[in-house]
Amino acid sequence: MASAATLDRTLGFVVARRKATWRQFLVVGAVLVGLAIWAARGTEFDIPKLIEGLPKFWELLGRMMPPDLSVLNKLMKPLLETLEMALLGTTIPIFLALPLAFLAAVNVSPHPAVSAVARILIGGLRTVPELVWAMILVTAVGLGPFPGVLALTLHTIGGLGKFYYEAIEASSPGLIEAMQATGASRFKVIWFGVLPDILPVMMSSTLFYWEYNNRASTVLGLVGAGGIGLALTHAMSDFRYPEAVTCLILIVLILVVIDRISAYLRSKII
Amino acid sequence: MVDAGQNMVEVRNLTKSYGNDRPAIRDISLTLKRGEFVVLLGPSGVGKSTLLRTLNFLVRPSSGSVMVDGQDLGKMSGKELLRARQHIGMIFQEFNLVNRMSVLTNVLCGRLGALGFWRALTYSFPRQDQERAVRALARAGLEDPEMYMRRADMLSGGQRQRVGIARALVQEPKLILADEPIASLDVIMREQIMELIADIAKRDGITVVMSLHQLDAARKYADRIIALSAGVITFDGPPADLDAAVVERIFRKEGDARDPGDEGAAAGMARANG
Amino acid sequence: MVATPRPVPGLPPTSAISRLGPTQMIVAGIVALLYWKSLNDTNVSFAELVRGVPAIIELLRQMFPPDWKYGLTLGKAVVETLQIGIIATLVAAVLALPLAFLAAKNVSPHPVIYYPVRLVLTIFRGVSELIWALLVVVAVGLGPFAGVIALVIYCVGVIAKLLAEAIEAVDPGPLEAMTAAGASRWKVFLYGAWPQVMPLFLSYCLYYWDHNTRSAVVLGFVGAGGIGYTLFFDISAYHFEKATMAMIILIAMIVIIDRICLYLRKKVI
Repeated sequence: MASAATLDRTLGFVVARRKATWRQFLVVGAVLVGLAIWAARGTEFDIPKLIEGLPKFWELLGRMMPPDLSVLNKLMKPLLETLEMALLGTTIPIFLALPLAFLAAVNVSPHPAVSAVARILIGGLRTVPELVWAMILVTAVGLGPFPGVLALTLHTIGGLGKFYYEAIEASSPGLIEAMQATGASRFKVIWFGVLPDILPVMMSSTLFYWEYNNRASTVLGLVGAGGIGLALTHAMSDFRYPEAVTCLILIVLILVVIDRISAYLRSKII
Repeated sequence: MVDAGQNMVEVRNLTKSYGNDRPAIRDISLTLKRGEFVVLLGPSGVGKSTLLRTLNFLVRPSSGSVMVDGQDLGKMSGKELLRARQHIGMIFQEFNLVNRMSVLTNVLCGRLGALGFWRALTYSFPRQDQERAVRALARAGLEDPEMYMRRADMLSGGQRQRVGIARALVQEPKLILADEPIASLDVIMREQIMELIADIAKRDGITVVMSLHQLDAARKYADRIIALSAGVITFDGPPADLDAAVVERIFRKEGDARDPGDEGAAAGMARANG
Repeated sequence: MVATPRPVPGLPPTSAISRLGPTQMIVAGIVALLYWKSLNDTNVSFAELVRGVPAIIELLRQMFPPDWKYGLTLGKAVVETLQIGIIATLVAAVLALPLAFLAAKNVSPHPVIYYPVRLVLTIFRGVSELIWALLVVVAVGLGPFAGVIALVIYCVGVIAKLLAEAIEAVDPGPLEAMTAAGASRWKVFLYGAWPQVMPLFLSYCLYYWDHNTRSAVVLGFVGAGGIGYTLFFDISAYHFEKATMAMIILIAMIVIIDRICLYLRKKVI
């Protein structure tokens, strides 16, 4: 049985620990609250304004209902375009992201300088939002889905590239060593050694970006890059709200369907 | 330490079925006296866990009544049930500790039921509870205070079960339910933990109901063995009455391999006899 | 369906194509058809690309070198974008907690609450942030506040769902132990489920802080302020060297945030 002295000592220790944890917690809390206040002021955060604005929003919804179903036919083509943009924008990058990832991964890259440059390139491509790429490309090649596909491709090369090189770096070093020991050329080491290893991650991240790109491509129409986003923008700027809401409903529906398909594919493949 | 006058647990006509399947326990009636060390014996699937869990209403019976310390659990409101449970400790096969939390906090969770709203929200247990926790840990064989602040998942299996036992002890329970407490431990730890629980039962006068499939342990520590098969009681008496024929009957349906040193001999005999 | 032939040990591996069964060939055929149609519809072809190359080269010429001096004037815009990202993540995190609790099958008080909450979260998630921004602007006007609200709506949808899934996947053992010791539901959740879920919650918050900052840039395109807005303006006015500068600053900002997130992750999780 613990003596009274040990009991006191233990409890003293416990209480001191708890005080320290509490202090940490309070400091972090204070920092977060401070940040929140600073950020709220800077962004003109104003709840009363939101509450006041709700009736306007309600009124908009009223003007949007009931949805104009007669435009469904004319929306099919843009909708299809959106899906196609996403499909191409996800699959084409695979072939470009993969070699780039091999250059970027520190364990298979020919030279650390090469890997550094590749990583910067991937980081840059992935950080710039696809909408920005789309807008820039529209000024170069004109309106339509083509710049949209290009924009998605650029962004996705960066996104997939990062997932790929992280997976390559996570693959077991023993495997690479073993293959190099058999005198296999660099290419063979990659093709037969590393590639099968990272295949599950490749498929998982490709599916992820397919979902992401479907969402992104609905929006690219905003800058003229085609798809249902364009139809939505036109409808809203012409005040044809019931038509706009039909677009919105289609978008939500299609994204839900894509989510389901993606989940199904995920369960079958991974 | 058996108080012949008072019954700790009274179970009458207890039945539990899940859906349309055969009932897990069928029309069971039992009376357990204060301070008894009772083992529910049998292979897996016979209803031991279900019966055990009806004693604190973690499982609600389909029909029948359960009285613990003179109170009918079935007639209790939500709050009353919580209070009743605060006096019943439970130990689990997989220890059921919160891995990320410290050993001490895990034990303190035993006193969570009675903790006030604001204290519970801010994770601040009163000093009295902390003392109880330290004492419970020492009673459970963990006396090194350095260990108390470690994360629960940094301990060995045997140590973790001791923490589980301390968590039950901190409730200052009158009844302890133990669900296969040694099944996940290695052979040496099993002995130590059984010794510990038996010692607690005897010296602190706590009624213990334990489900086991290890025959040796049951024989060695139980005051009373209740064997179950397909949801009904097939034997109820002291270990001395447990002869080979009875054992064979209890474990007869068992076909898979078992750990050596428990009822393996009996099962082997059963298999040999077809 | 014909079983796909397996490689025989000892012999060189059969080629991938020969291992395809008829169903798989049909699926491959459909996919190829889809692909061909997509390429056609979106005018993606080598010819188009070639035709566009001169325009793209001209574009690159105008984009580089970036207008370095312009970078100095972008300070305010950068700060605004950061603020949008921070406040949106904080508010979304706070709102997501109770919603996740209601949307988790194992702790939600009643199915009558569970199903509607899940539906609402799906709607929040299903509509892209940009579209929410368009809608919110109607209520509160242009400016960063609209961006914040739009991001919060989307982010709450995502985080609450992920959190609810984490809660549903929690190890039920400790929960059973605390229920057996007589703790009420919310206490069981706070002491049994929450410690398991918290590291995931923090991880999502950090990830979405990064994501929200990027999205804040995009929302600038619809008038939600910040560096996105200046970027939109510059591209529209064909001031490409300024746009490039803004993009460089944007990339630097995200890299710094990434570093901070990495550091915080190590410390807390």
